Formats: sequence, C-alpha cells, structure tokens
Amino acid sequence: MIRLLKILEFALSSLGRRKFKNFSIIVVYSLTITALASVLLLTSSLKKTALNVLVDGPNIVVQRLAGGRHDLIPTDYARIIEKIPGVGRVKPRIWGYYYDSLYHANYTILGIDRGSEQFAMVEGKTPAGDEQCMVGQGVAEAQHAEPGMDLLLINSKGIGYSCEISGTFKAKSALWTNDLIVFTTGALKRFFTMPDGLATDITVEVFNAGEVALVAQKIKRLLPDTRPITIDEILHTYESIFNWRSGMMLTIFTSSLLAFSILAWDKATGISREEKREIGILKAIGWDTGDVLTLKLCEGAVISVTAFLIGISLAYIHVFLLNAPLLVPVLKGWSVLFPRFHPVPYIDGYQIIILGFLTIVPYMASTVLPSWKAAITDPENAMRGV
Amino acid sequence: MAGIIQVERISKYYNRNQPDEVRALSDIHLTIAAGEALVVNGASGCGKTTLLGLVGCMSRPTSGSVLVDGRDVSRLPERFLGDIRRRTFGFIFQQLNLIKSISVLENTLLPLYPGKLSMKEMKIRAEEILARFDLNTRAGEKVSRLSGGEQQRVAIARALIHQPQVIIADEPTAHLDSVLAAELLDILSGLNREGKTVLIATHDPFVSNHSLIDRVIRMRDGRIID
Amino acid sequence: MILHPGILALLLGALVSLVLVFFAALVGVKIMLHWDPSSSSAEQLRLERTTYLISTIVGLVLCFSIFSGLLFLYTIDDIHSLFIGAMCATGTLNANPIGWNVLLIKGIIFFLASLWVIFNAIDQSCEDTPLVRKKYAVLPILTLLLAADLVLQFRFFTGLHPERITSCCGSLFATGSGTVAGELAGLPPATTMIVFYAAAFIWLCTVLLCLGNRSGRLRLLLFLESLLLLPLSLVAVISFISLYVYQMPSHHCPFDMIQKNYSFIGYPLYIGLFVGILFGLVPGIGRVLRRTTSLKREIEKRERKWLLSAFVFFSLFLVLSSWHILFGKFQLFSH
Repeated sequence: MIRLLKILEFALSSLGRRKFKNFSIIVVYSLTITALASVLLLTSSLKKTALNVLVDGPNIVVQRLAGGRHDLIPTDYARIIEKIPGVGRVKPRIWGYYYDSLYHANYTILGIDRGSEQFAMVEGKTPAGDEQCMVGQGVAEAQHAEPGMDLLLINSKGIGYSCEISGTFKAKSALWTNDLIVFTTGALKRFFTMPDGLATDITVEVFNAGEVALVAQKIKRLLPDTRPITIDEILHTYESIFNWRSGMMLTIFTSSLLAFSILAWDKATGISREEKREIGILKAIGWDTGDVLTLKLCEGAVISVTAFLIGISLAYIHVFLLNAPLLVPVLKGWSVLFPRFHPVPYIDGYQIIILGFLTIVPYMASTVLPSWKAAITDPENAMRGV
Repeated sequence: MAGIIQVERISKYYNRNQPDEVRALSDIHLTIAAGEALVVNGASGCGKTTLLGLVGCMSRPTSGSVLVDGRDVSRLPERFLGDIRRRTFGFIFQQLNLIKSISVLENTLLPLYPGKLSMKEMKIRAEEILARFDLNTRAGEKVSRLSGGEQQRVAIARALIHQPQVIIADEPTAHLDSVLAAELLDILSGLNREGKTVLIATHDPFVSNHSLIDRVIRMRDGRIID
Repeated sequence: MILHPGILALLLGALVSLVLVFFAALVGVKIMLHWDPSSSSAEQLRLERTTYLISTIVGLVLCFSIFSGLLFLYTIDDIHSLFIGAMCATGTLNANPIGWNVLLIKGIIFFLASLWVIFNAIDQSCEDTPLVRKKYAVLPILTLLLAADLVLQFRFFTGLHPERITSCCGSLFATGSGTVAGELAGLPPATTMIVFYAAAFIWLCTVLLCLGNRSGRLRLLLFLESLLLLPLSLVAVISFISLYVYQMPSHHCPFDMIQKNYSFIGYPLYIGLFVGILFGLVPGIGRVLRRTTSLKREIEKRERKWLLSAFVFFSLFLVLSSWHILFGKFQLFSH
C-alpha cells in the first residue's frame, strides 16, 4: 500500500515533468468527456423535468376517436367516468395549437376554469376574466409582450381576439410553458368556435396508482369510442424519445472517443527516448517490472481522473450555467420557441458511472499494452548507455 | 572461504541459436570475499560489463550459477532480482545515469520508491547521505545545474542510499579528469574501509594501480586470463 | 432500446473486457506451451515478462466487472418505467428473463476473476511459480464467460420490448405465483430465518475453527459451506431481509436497496456478503492447490488474513441485514 502511494507520488512528479505531452492528452481527453457528459447531463435533466411535470399531472387522459383520429369528446362522458370506483377528479380540458403567421411560431393554447388552476411558477396573475390571458416566456419574447400589454390572435374565422396579458410563466418552467398561452375556458371555446358540450379531452385522477390500468380498461369498456392514455404510457414514450436522442449522440461521440483512444495508444507507444532512458535507469537501480508497470498505470489513472473531473466540470458549466448552447440545436424539438430554457441542475452516480465506462475503460485498456512494453525495458540497457 | 559473491562456471550468450549469436562470457569462475576491492580489467568488449550485470543481478547467465550471500540467484525469476539488487548492490554507472530534470534529492530517493520505507524515512535517509557528500545545500537543485564532480557525488549518494554491501562501478573514471578520478577513488577507498565490497570494471591503469585495490582480474574475449 | 446510454456503456465495457481477456488467454496459451523454469534462455525471460501483462489485464478486467455489475443494476432500474407494470429493476428482468442469466454470469465472473487475482499474487511470490499452467488454463474459461456476458447482455437488451406488459417484483415475488422467485419469496419467513441464521452461525463457527486449527478437511468444509451459504443468503435477502429493509410486508426486491431511497444500504450489505463468501472459498482452494513447499509457505502466511476477512465481512452482512429485524419498527410477526 505504501509502495503504491509512493509510486503514485512519483507518477505525479513524473507527469509534471512532461507537461506538454500530457497537457495535450488531457485537453483532448477532457474535451471528449465534456462532449459526452454534456449530452448525458442535458438529456437526463430534460427527462427529469419532463417526468416531474408528468408525474404531477393526471393519471389518465381520455380522448375520443372518430375514424381512428382524435376528435372532440362530449363533456357528458366525464359524468360516466366519475362513477367508476376509485376515480377522483374528472375534468374536461380544452386546448389546441395556434400558428402565428407573423412570427412563424406555434403556440399551445390551454383553457382553464377561473380560479380552479394553480400554477406554481407565475409572474403576475392568472387570468381573472375572459379578457385576460397568461403567456409563456417564449411567447412573451416573440411578441415583445409583458404583463399589462395586449395580445392579438386571429382565429380560423378570421376574427381577431385581443386580450390583456395578466402574467407570464417563469423561465424555470420554460420546458413546458415556453410556447403556452392560457385563456379561460369560456374565452378559448369562443376563440376555437367550439360547440358547447364538447371538449378536447378529459383528464382523470385515480386515487390508487396501482388501479390506473384497471380504470383505463373500465373506461374503454363503458365508452368504446374513447382512447384512455395512462400516465405510464406517456412516461415511457418520453423515456424512449430521450433515450433514443441521447443514445444517438452518444454513439457518435463514442466513436470519436474510440478514435481518441487510438490516438492515445499511438502516442503512448511512441515513448520518447528520454522517457525510455529514465525507465532504464529506474530498472537498473532496483525497480522491477511490476514497479514500473504500476508507475505507468498510475500515470494513466491520474490522466484519466484529471481529464474526467475537468470534463464533467466543463459539461456542468456548459449545460447548467450556459444552458447548453452547443447542444440545444440538436436536441431541441420542433418548436422555434424552444431555445430559451434553463435545464435544472441534476447529476447522479448513475451518469458518472456511465461516463466512466464510456471514457475511462477504453482509455485504460488502450494504455495497458504500451505501459507493459515500457516496463519490460532491460535493466542492462542502462549500464550500456543504450 | 565462501565469498559474498560466488560465480561458478557461468556462460552468457546473446541471441542464442540465432545467426547473430554472441558469446559474451564463457566458463567464468570468481569468488569475491566480503570487504574485498576488486578490479576487472580488460579492453572494451571483453565482457566486463556483462560480468558486472550478472553479478549485480541485472541479468541471468545462460549456464552456470551466481551465488549472492550463498543464495543461488541465477535461476530466480526476474521479479525477485529487483529486491536482491536493491538490498545488496549499489551501482555507479559510466554515464552516471542521473535524471537531469529532477532535483538532487529526488534522484537520490529513486531507489527507495519500491521499498517499504515511508516518504518521511526516505527523506531523512537521503538528507544524511547528501550531507556526507557535501550536497545537502544543493538538495533542491536540478541535477543539470550541478558541476561534473557534484553530479558524480549524487550518483554515488544514490548508489549508497540503500546501504548496500557491494558497490559495483562500471568504468567510473571514463569521463573524468584526473582530479575527479582521484576524488572518486578516495570516496571508494573510504567506503571499502567501512567494510563495503567494491567491484570495479575498468581499463584505466590509474584505477587498477590504486592503493585501494586488493586484486586485479584480467579478461579477454569473455574469459578470465589471470 | 440499444441506444440507451447505460446500455451502450455496458456493451462497450463488456466488449473491451472480452478483447483484453481474449488477448491475455492467447498469450497465456503460449506461456503454457513454452514455460520452462529451468531454462535461462531469452525466450523464458520473455515469457516471464509477459506474465506481468496478463496479471495487469485480469486485474483491470476484475475492476471493470465490478463496476459493470453496478452499472447493470442501475440501468435495469433506470429503464423499468419503459415497461408497463414494472415498478423496479426486477420488472425489467422479467420483461426478458435472459437478464437473470446476465446477473448469474456477472457473479461467476466476479468470483472467478477475484480468485484468479488472489492466487496469481501467491504464485508470483513463489520462486518456482508452481501454479503457472493452472493459472493460464483458467483464462480461456474466463474468456468464454466474458463472451457469454457480452452476448447475453446484447440479447437481453435487444430482446426488451417496451410495449410488453411485465410483472414487477410485486407480482414476481408474490406468493404462489408459480415462479422460482415467487417460491423463494413465498417461503415461510420464520423457517427461512431459522435456516439462514443457523447456517450463518455454523459457517462463522467453521471460520473460527479454521483460525485455530490447521486441518485441511475443515477448510474444504468451509469451502462447501460457503458455496451453500451464498445462495442461501440471497434467498434470505429476498425472503425476509428485504421486507425489513423496506419496512413493507410484500416488497421482496433485492435490488432496490442499492438506491438512494434506502440510503444505499445495499452496497455495504452486498459487499459484506460477496467479499465474506469469497474469502470463505479461498482457504479451501488453497488447501487443494498447495502441493509444493513454496506454495504451502505462502498460503499459510496469508491464511489468517483470509479467515479474518471472511469473518469480518460476513459479520458486516449479518449485522446490516439483522439491524432492522432487531431494532426496526417494522414487525413481520405482529399479531
């Protein structure tokens, strides 16, 4: 143990002596790790945020199908669903999309009942009447609007609606509220010219999480023209998308990492004359092959750990302090309004161990052979001054 | 009398059974007593360095055996030789073999890293030995900034830090002027008086004729001629 | 499915380990064929130096395998929400039962590689390197295991279909579900408890007896007991220890306890179990292998340490797993 610590100390000083060579390896190595870690941190932060929002949401969303397509659902259905045992609050929702031809942006418009909804992350007030609305950060910026100003939207009949912006969502929730406009249900119905007694879909709360699937089956049986979507299904759709995206990126970066490993291997095999001479000296004065091998592996480990820490720190800064400017174009969705968001800092052991596997494992594996080759230098060489 | 080192009928081939086979040593017998000062004399290429390497456990003979303190080391796996080399031998090389880019102290410490001493004990020992060779004031200095004489003393200090019984020096005076050569031999005499065995390979008559030397062995073409 | 970052990392790690050990095994075959300790030829010296390469590779692969086991558990836990009905890692394993084989293979690799590293160190400290051929004969087996690990993991992950409705530990370990795991969970806790604690007691006594006695039979007995105690302990974890750790009467999942919710109690618990059992196996194997005087000396020098480690680590496992039973609020046998 004490031998290992001493050799580690020697490895540190020996790395310090070959600053330039090791510095360049560490730079390339840590940049690769930064790239990999950024993808991982960003996607898992997005995933985490998304899941948090969804977990707080309704357990089941019931849609009506007509001709296999999503259709407006009669609000009467809510009363039928309410009677199923174990079901809590059942609420018809009205929401839809709006294309703003002036700013070339898609908005999501949601109707709320006056005073019934509580939004946690709001600046200003929730709409108090039909003439008021609330917008997300992205919408506010696109329209250069702020609370107190008016928002003008034109519906499918060509009629313009103007309403006062009573509040905006805080940037923190931007992943979900960025493109959102909130009206009162009545106002939205008029805007969409939706007939009475119909809604976009119905949300269902189930008291016992274990009964969600059962309730969904019952709804399907009672109302055969509906499609109940459980939260689990939504969750795993999101999971798949995020995993797929980060996986794609990781594949690309991992191949670049392998290329880097080959580079590192190449560099490490070509041990400089000076280094070779030093190893010869060490062996001549009593170090044996195992000692030199330990030294070389320690050097590799020190380089790995240093690059790993630098890489993760840079990725953390890149993703959580700078909002991932280099990745967002690739990972963002379809909306033009997506860019401005602030990923919630989130890092855990799982991500670190994944990163370690993707980076340190190939690097250490690629240094085994060159380290060993260096370590078996014949001690007699030093005597002959070879 | 059993010596500290007994060399029995050793031969050493390089590239055995290949077209470029070299027979570096053949059929060497040699016994070195504890406390003896011995010179191996001969022209370059006669096998002196190979013999020193075998005695100093740097390599193994092709045949025959080498006994160090009565233990046959000629068949030991390489991984045991490092330890024996550290405990028994201190080496002074022709090119000194110092690492120029690190300090005097660090160079002196080098042989101790694989051992069991703690970093603190190592430093205490190094300071003692550097003081002995008037190097304590230069301990933090890089070796490349030292004079030739000082570098030589660093090399000796490093060879002694393990408190070895045997000092092995290969052509130690080859690159030295007469003043430095004399200084080196004075140091070696001092060590010999303390009871250390000294084994020197050289073709320098100044060394062979020095009062320190008890015995001179002559070699030619891998054999001892007298 | 394959594009999940954790899965990519696992497959990459498995591939790298396999390539390394395959290479080591090839070199090992060369050593077995040409090893001649009486020769001082340059060839023999080259072979001696090659042994360092192999030792390093196996050591590295052992490290990788430990982390890959962890990563595997984390990954199946992370993706469980993709499977309808799955509520923890067990659910993912049930979505494609090959996963259980992956775990088994990983366990075997851990024990084999650890034993290899331990006995390699002993062999290297003997001047005559008596185990050299046996050691390198094991490498092809290790290669096969690592290949199986890679292939099974690949088949496991490609065979996972997120649409499939799976059972989670709740139903897998539900009593009377007809599966082996269900049978295990359905074992009457009181009986399992008695059998487990009796076995653990006998095992600890055997360790203590070995400490005071040089008998070879005792060590072989300890070896066999260890082989039995490992599965028995795992059964105990599923059957009742997990219930106390989670303080829930029907949560039998052996994996949840490595999560943050249970303050990572699973780590010291499983480390205690696996390391304890590992050192329970070593003295018996040592007894069979010690044919030469040099081996005998080296093994005797270390045996005390092994037995003490076995005792200490398994006691750690016992203490951690019994803590909640003795001091926790949860009572399985309340009336």
